Amino acid sequence: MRPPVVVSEAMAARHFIPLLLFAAIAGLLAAGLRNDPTVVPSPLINQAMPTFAAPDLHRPERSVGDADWRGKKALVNVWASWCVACREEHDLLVALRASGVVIYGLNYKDEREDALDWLAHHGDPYLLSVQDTDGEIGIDWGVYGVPETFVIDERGVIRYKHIGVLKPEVIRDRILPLLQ
Amino acid sequence: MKTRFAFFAVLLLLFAALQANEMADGLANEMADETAWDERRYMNLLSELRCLVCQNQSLADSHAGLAGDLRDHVRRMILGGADDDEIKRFMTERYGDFVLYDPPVAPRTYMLWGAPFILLAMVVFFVFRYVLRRPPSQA
Repeated sequence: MRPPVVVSEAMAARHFIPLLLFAAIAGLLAAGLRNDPTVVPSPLINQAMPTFAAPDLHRPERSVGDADWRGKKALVNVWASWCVACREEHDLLVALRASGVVIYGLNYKDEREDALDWLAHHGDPYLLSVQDTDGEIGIDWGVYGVPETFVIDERGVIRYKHIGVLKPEVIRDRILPLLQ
Repeated sequence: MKTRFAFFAVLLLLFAALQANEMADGLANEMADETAWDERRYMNLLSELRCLVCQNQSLADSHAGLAGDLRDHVRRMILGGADDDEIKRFMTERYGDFVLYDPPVAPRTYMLWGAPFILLAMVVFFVFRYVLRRPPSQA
């Protein structure tokens, strides 16, 4: 018969150290997997929107600037007619506009005729559209992947940025609360 | 006697050729310095900035449209007399520290910069403890 194994409490606890270490590392890596590396956090959150002045998409002889986008809580949607993913979220934007949300459009590196065709075809949800022909406004706004959508408050401060196609959950959980 | 003369002549020619080569090199370098000094700085800067579209490429390598636009910006800022810090600030104000391949050492990045040293210290500690605790081998 074998003698009973005597294990002191301290020794028993020590045996769990590798397990705890493993759990800690696994937890860290699992959290890392949930991060989407293509989403780069914007340093512009809680900053005033960058200043700009560029032609109105519909009336190019008229200039639109950041002052025109102040005064109301609103969405700023960066889009282009060449952007396939923009088509995906467009109906959502049209529906938002119908429900009274103010949306401004930043038409990014696009041809004016193509952009106007697109809006005539798929509906125009934008209260004001500005042409960013060479993408300079986009760079000031930190745009790197169209579509992108910003939420601005009535003072023109950027409150939120969504990168990529808008999803109903994002609008419901993140965007609409900021527009209240 | 003749062979010795020929030997010296060849040596002299070789020397002259080397000298001329060096002078030409020097001239080329000087000319390059005048026109391409900015180019070298430009390429250095581009290699330190990350393209946001293809994140594993620098602005120097990337063919993305945005990378081209940002390269234009860097070029214009250099021509406008901006220094490297100003150009990097321009980028981080818009795209965050993520555009820098070398993130700044700041309180929020202490962990990032310190972790390798903490791990190294831990490894050294455990290895020493293990080695010192091992009973002398019985040969």
